[in-house]
Parts: sequence; C-alpha cells; structure tokens
Amino acid sequence: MIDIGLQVWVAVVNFLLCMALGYACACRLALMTAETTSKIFRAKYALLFAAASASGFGPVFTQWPTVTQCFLEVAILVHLGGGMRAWSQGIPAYARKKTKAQEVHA
Amino acid sequence: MNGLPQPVPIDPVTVLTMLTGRHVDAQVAAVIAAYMAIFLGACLGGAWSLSARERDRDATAGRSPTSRLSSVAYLFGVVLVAIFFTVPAAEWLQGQYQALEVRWTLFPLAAVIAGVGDRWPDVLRWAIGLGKRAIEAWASARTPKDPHNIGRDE
Repeated sequence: MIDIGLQVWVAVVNFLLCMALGYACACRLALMTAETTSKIFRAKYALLFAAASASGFGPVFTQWPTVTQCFLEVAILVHLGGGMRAWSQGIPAYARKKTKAQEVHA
Repeated sequence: MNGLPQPVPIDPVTVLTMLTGRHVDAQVAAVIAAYMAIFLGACLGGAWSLSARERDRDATAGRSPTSRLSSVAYLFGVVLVAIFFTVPAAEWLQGQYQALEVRWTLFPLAAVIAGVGDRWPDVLRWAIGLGKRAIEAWASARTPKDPHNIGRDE
C-alpha cells in the first residue's frame, strides 16, 4: 500500500508537470489558425492538452497519478522543449497547411 | 433465466464510473465519471477552437493578438462554460429525442460547446436569422392572396 503522504507529493508534482505541458500546448495552439495550420497538428496538440489537463486534475476525479506517469510527463516536456526554437519564430514549416501549389508539386 | 447474456453498458460514463468506483460510493462515482467525461470533452473542444482562432480576433476586441495569457484565459472560460451548460443541454436533448441518452451525449456535447468557443454569438445570430426566415415563409404561406391582385405582379 502506497504511503498517503507520498501519494499527495506525487499528485502535486504531477499537477505541476501537467500544467507546464498544458501551458506549452496552449502557447502553440495560440499561434495556430485554421487557415495556416494543418488539421493533424491542431488535433495532436488539442489531444495532448486534453490529456495533460485530465491527468493534472486526476485526483479531483479520484484518479491518483503514479511516479511512472510523472516520468512520462517529463519525457513529453523534454520532447516539446526540443521544438521550442522552431515554434518561437511562428508556426514551423512542417506544421503548416500545404498550399495548392505545394500539393500539385508533391 | 433465459440463458442470454445481459448486455454490458459500454458508454463512456459507465466505463468511467467503473474505473472511479473502487474508492468512492457508487452514486458519487457516477457523478464524478459524468463530470470527467464533460471535462475531457471540454478540454478537447476548447483546445481545437483555440487552434482555429484568428490571430486578429483579440486585436479587434482591444486586446493584444492571442497572447499566451489570453489563450489560457480563453481555454479556462470555454471549459467553464461547457461544464455549466453540458448537463442541461444533454437533458434537453434527451427530452426531445428519447434515444439520445444523457450518458452518451455528455462527452460530444461538451466538445461541441467548447469547440464553438467564442463563436457562439455568431451561431446565435445565424439561428435567429434562420428562425426569422422560417417565420416569414410560414406567414407568407398562410396569408390569403388578394383575388384582385393575382397575376398583376407577373
């Protein structure tokens, strides 16, 4: 049986990590528009934001987080951090919607 | 006993109730599960609507164009609105169409309510316009034509 004190600490760490994840997603989602960004990227970040929010507020819904869950969140944060430079200058080319000319060329 | 297996409910709310029900009372678990489904749907819909938002939409309202804080505030707002309006909307829908049970419609309704986001005034304006046109068409169909004017407009 897990110690209740440890469980609360894990929940606090999980909440902070999830808020960081949610904030990172919100920042990127704020850059996107329906006209400029591909639907796949919009859906990916919307899904990640929903998952991070649900995980962060898990204890409210009696879903207590685990230590491994926190490790996963750290890994996702590191992964998102890798693309920080590209996203700081607007929507990167790989996330942009293809124009008609690009589709014809492809 | 007729030997047939009982159908197992697989709707999202029942599944979430089964997952949360270990620690709390069954009734509380059902409420928690329902709001978990709403919260998930609202976050998904809200994030999708934020990604579709025009960058100059905030600028026209006197705010800086989709700043980080304004986008977080937007998400918080749409999720809150979805949490408040999903249950009444789902119950109204079930009242209109018996087949649309609340436990099935909570998640998609929350996603739609948050997904429309700050475009609700546009949707309402469109619905009012549609209603006006329908009433006008109905009224003109019911108005008896003046027998002296028949054929004069043509």
